[in-house]
Amino acid sequence: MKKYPRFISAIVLVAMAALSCAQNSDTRANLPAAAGPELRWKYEAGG
Amino acid sequence: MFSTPTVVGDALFIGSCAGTFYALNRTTGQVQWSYDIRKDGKQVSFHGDPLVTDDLILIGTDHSCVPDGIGHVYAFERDSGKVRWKYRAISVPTDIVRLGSNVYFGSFQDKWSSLSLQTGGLNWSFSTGATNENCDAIKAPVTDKNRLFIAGLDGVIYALDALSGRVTWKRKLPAAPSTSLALKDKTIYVGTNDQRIYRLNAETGAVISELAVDAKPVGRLAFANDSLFMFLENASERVGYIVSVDSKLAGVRWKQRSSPAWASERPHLWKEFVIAGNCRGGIGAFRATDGEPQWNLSLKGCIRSIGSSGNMLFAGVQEGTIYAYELSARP
Repeated sequence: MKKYPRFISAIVLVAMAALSCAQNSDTRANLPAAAGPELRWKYEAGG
Repeated sequence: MFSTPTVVGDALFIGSCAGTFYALNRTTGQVQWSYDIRKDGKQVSFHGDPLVTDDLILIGTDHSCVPDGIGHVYAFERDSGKVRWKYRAISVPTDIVRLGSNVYFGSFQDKWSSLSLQTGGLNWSFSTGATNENCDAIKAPVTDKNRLFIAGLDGVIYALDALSGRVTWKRKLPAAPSTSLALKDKTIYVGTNDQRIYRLNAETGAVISELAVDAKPVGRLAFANDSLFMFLENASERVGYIVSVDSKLAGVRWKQRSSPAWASERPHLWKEFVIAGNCRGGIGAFRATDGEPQWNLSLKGCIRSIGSSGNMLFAGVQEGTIYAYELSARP
């Protein structure tokens, strides 16, 4: 009986890993393709 | 509202949301001069873009549609900030545009005027007769060699003789304009509330071609070569798009979806990028040729205006901050 929870845990882990991979894949798709500009200064003009 | 950051020489000119017009050093952000428009009456906003001449910078002011609010056209000396002249109006929320020795602007009351650039004296005014109960934004005018083109609150596009203010032609499209007008190669471009983009012959107002798009075109249009860039917005689904359209309106070249919708006034063209900002502080850069995302910036606040000069990119945020970024030289 104790094997089932482990089996289920393994399935959950595999499923989580798959989801995680999918998320990573999406993130990779959104990663910048080029370096963007860098902040030089900002001025607080008041809203 | 921030006006579009405008660079001339070493100076960055920008009007803030709190009623001050600034000339900042473009590389350091140090204030060169500033002018608080509140000392001249009930006005706090700069909704339009400035006009730069050899020695002046002109900007319009307003207090939205507040009943006792006022507006001006200011002509500042660029180097010192000294007021060469100012013209008082009910409101001046549009760009100031120039044709020869005269300048032109509109008001929240849909009254359009011409002033002498030299003196600020009134040449003529034209009213469409429309009311503005919802305080709708007034769309920036454009000029060609002898005419002023405006999109009235009555939904009509007018071509006015620039010297007299008389109507040369007018055109009512099936739906009211939803974008500012743009002029390129004797052709007027405009987006409309029924999710279409039109090309009109600037000489006659006749429709040359039109294109249906997936959502309502909003804001201002931008051109690069034979591409037209614009924002589309689906307000009910809080979704926006940035699109590139063939300038003959033969079709959409690329489209990028975003949520929330873009909040900056127009797609800003900078180097090989098309830049847009949203109200969560996000700035996105897309490759102009194919729309491929290139890089993102994360600022604080609602990005309303974006400008650039050389390697520097400037953004005005509604909450009151002006940001300056620089693109490093590539190896």
